[in-house]
Amino acid sequence: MCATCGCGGGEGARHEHHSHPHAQEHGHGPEGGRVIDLEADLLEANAAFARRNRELFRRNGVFAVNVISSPGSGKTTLLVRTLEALRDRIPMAVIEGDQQSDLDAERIRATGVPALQIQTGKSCHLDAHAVSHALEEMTLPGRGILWIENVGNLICPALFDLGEGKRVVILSVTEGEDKPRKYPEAFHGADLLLLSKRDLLPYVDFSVDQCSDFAHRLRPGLDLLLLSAKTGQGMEEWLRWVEEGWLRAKASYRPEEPVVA
Amino acid sequence: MHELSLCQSIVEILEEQSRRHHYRRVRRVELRVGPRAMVEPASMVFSFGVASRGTLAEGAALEIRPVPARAVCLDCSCEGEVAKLAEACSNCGSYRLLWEEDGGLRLGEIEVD
Repeated sequence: MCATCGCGGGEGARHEHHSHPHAQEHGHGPEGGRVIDLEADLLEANAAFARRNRELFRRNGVFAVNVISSPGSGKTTLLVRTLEALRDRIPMAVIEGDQQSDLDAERIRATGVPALQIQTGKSCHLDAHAVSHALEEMTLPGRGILWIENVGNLICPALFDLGEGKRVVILSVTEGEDKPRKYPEAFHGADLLLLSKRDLLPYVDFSVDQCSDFAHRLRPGLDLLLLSAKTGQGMEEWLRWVEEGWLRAKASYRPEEPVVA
Repeated sequence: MHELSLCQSIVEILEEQSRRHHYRRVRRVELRVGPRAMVEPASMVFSFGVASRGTLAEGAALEIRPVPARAVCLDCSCEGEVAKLAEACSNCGSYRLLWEEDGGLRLGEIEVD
């Protein structure tokens, strides 16, 4: 049985019941049965775990970053470069979400930063419950950065809050500027849009302006950076963004348990 | 296929609620879907069939009803409803809309025995 929620492992948490306070009964419906209006939030079970994760991060001064993109956008490469640049100054750890294999976690471990691989199996996204279990199995990088590399997918991960401090969406310029239009929710929920593989810009028809325009329709004020993890171009701005988030999270470090009223 | 995990949540909520509202079978389920939810109706219906098999919701009809979300315009402060992402403000045409913080996926009415 799992310590977080007593769920027996594997399946999501169903133990919190905040989701349906206003259930009302009215008469009979078209199918001849009794009608009840539940008005129950489907994402509440996930939200409850996300709140718990967020509180854990806050108390430990951890800057948790949820990284979302389609497969092959260069997530892991960027992460490896970022870890190499910051590892001497900032405690870090990585949670890797993939449907199968330990390949990404191995690439991360080669940098010397601890990595935990979550294999989601049939599922196409990480959820807050899976992350809360991962957190039990690892040492939290106190006053540092926890990178959560989501399953490569621009659709499903967008709906699931993991309790992260910031959400970064990576879009490589080879994927085309129309992606915010096609997969709006990923961009709507993002704090930063990273346009990767900048070195390939001369070879593809990708309009940074158009992409930025669309992304801003979905999320006014969304930060946007253009970089190449391969050549290092734009990495400096990215690292500055990361450090700012890290410093802010570090400032909320509260090691003691909260006083319960 | 996040539809399958969402349908598993639906079935879990239905089972939980059966104890509170004392029903043994679910005939109809209304799902209220906001513009952010990104669910594919056909996939949802298929997944619901899979997730509900052998439960009190087996055979129940899944009705998917689109509902708007609330948003406020950062330029004219007008508050209103939006039916899809990247929609302009109906008052001033600005795209700088701030959305309510809600995934917009709710179980609405259910019909039970």
